[in-house]
Amino acid sequence: MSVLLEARNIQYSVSGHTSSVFGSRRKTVLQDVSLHVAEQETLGIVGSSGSGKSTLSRILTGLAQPENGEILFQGKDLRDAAGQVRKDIRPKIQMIFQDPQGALDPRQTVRQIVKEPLHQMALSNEEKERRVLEVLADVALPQDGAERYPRMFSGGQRQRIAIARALVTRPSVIIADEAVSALDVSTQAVVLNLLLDLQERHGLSYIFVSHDLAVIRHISHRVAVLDEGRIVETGPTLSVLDHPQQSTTRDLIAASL
Amino acid sequence: MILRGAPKSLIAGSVLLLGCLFPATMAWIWHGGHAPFIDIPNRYAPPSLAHPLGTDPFGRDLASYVLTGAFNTTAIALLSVVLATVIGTILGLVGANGGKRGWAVMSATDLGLAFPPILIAAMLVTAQGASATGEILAIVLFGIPAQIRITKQAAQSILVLDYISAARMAGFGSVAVTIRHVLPNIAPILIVHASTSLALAILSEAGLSYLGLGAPPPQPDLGRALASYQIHIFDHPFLVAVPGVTVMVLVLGFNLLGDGLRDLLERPFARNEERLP
Amino acid sequence: MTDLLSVRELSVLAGAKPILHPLSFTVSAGETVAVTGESGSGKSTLARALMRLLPDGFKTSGQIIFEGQDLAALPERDFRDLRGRRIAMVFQEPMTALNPIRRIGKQIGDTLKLHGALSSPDIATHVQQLLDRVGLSHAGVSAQSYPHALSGGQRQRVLLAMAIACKPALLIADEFTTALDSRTQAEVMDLVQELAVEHEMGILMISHDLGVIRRQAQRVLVLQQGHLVESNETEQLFDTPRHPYTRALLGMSLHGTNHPPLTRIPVPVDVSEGVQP
Repeated sequence: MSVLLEARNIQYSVSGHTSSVFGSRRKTVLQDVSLHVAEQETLGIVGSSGSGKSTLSRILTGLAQPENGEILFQGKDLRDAAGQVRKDIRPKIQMIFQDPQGALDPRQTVRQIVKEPLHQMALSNEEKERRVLEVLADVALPQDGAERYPRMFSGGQRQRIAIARALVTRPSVIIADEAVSALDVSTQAVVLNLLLDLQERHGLSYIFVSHDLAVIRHISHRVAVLDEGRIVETGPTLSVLDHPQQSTTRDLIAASL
Repeated sequence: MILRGAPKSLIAGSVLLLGCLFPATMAWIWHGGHAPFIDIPNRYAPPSLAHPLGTDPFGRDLASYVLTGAFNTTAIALLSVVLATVIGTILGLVGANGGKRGWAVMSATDLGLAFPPILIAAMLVTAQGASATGEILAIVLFGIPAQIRITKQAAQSILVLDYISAARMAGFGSVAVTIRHVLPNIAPILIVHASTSLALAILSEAGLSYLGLGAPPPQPDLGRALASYQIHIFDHPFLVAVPGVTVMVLVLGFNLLGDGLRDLLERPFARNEERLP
Repeated sequence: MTDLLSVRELSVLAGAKPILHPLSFTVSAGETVAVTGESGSGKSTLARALMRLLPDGFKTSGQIIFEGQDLAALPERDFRDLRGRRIAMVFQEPMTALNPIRRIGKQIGDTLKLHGALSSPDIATHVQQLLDRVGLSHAGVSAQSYPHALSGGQRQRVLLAMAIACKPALLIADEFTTALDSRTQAEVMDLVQELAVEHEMGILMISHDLGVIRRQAQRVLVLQQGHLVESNETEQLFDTPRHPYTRALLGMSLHGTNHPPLTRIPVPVDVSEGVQP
């Protein structure tokens, strides 16, 4: 399997709260983080809050810029890539967010929400409309739902809308940041099943970021353990989770038993 | 019926405002915006068919004078609030988006808050004489900092949400994100604030012209009506009561309208959170 | 063992719509009872009904016997005295439960002042003891800290300190650790357990997280659309669930059974998203 998306030596810090006359001290969020995901593979990233996992997903989607390091998509550096190339690559990387409430604009219809990522793509309006209906069917949302507002849907259906929005650009990789953490048991099962179906159907890669080891264990082929901004352990899911080498990993496992 | 299910305060506010502003507009059109004729021999006339509320110390029809004044006061207040809302909202949105520009806006706001508006009005009058323009400027300058703060706070609570990140990923810039997502979602807050600001602006307008810092005579005005009639508070209390009650009705009306709009506009979108799981 | 809380035929109506069908259960001193179910099962309604925190339009009936008296029949004033002192509640959202502009020491002290007749120096010592006890002093958090300076787990600890300040006999925890990551969740829940043992405190824990329930609770109540479908010892419930709904819930949970990774989780048709209220 060939590598699809790769992060090399990512470094990221924010200005700290404590500043002195000598300038503010910077707080390291990510330190020398390298990881990759292959085609049709799911990489799970586990870590507690404060481990830097949300920042990492924002960097991978281009919402934040790392201070150092590079993000490569099929070997092309996203920073170096010229405007047009970048415009072509960006839609290939999509994201599903955690909070089903805050992920959808309450004043937009489902159609407007799902259509939004197509904004900069060179497609005719008919083609865009066709894609919207296509992905709504893909996530098994009723077609007449397109003109409705998010508040008219249940939590699980809202997460499907968010997934439809991520699918509409026909991405190669989807980064899911705590995408099922806020959901009920049955809804979580339904959404996880849907994600596995979509992976098979479209040959998607996922980077699944979560604190929930049970979810990571269920959906990932490989896993990376993030602790205080560093990747402390990485490998095939079952070997890492069943035979952890690092104390951080063991702590995480103990807490989620 | 549309009114069914509308908040009571919205209905009450609308009724008060319509009851006051419709005759005010009629009176203003009738008199072409000017004060009614002065008719000294006929002063202090009791209510009659020709003068429903009697006449004032200059023999002017009291009802016409106060209603035309109410129109002028409301017009000045409305214009000031529109200006303050537009300017304050734009600056607030710039402030919310952060960066050097945002910081500059917020620092200027803090500085602006340190100047009492009455002082600004007094300075303007000293510089160029009493005028409606100076008065509007004072009310606008007074309203802008609050508008900036409210807009900034509301916008920031939207900007942290995930759908903003999704829009950025789709390639929208700050301005487009603001127009597409931020403004529609903070609009209810802005509308409600504008309505309650109108109540405050009416009070400010009346207050400034009471002090002689508003538009000069003969333009009818509620504040100046109060100022010129106040010496008659004991011999003709009715003269003071009429403009006083009119100010009260307008202020109450806009406050009720604001409350009602808050219930009406912010309710359906808050319902998700309110519903018990 | 005598029952600390004994709920008999408790039901809740929203208008004419039943939200909670008559249900009975007990909680003993020192025991942790979990209430679980999906959205719309009525589990949060149950917690709020016990604490009389339901909004207008909700009607509660049945008996709530707590320490020998029927809470349902208690006048509002007496109940308010009990709430916070003998029965405490902790919620999911620490940011809305804490006042952002007051130091946490003051906020914990307020609870003490409200219910006890401690003198100021006593309160300060007591607050310090509480902060020590919930492990905040250890983490470098002082009574002088403001809520925003704390992490999510630390804020939950502050809420816990406030809740146990008056040594309540019953603690109701509504999705208390849901917003936390698993490690912090485990730490906070372990602390809750220690406090329960220390103070002989009964705990009614509302949670949708079967993993947490399995770790913490001695008994589990399963709610489905307002019906209590199963009530059992935790071990037995997880090993040999009796009701089909419990079986379905455990079957779908990644914490309940060991699903082979990367396979579809079996979702019974009647459960999938048919749980909308």
